[in-house]
Amino acid sequence: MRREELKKIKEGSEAKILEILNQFTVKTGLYLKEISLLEAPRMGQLYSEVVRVEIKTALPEEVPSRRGITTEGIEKKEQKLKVQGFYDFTVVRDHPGYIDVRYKGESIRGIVGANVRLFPQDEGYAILKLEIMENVPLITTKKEGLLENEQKITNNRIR
Amino acid sequence: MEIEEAKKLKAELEMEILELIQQFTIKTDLYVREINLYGQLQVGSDKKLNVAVEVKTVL
Repeated sequence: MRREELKKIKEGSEAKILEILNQFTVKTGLYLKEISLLEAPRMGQLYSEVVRVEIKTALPEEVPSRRGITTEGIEKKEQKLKVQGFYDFTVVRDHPGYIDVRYKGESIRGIVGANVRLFPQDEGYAILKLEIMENVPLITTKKEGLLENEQKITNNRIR
Repeated sequence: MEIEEAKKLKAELEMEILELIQQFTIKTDLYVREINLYGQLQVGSDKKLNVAVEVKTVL
């Protein structure tokens, strides 16, 4: 199977998972904190024999901080930053799954795959065009500490 | 919603995800090693705008 095809199937699976998670939240009012595969699958075994999926949930009031991402110092500015399309950003810091960038003096945290998409340039080195998808809320931060490694991070490998 | 009902929906969701990753393996011959949720959940917001799902695989 070609890499492009695999990538497409993987993205499709991720989108389906996200969709059923959304349905769960709508039905129950509970948010998802984590999805764990409790046992590792091995070649020749069926998932149903060896793997259990466990989902951890949270009530809305428990939600603000998770997975090391904190809302401290972060301010949401949905209306002010109506950017859409392709823009050149300076990457401030990259994280697994999200990225802090600077755009027109604002520091923005984009969630990769949700509201920003990275476009790798040569040989896996990224940046640094981000596509801001539709009119989705961006989380901006004024926390100055996020800017301290700006130059150092710019050419780091994202993946 | 009562706790029992939420538990039932949660069990159904877990089965749905298991089913999805099995289909993924059948199609690709790759095993799913890990599923991560990234992003921040915010009360009252549309969850899909703030959360990304990443599936990690292994040969």
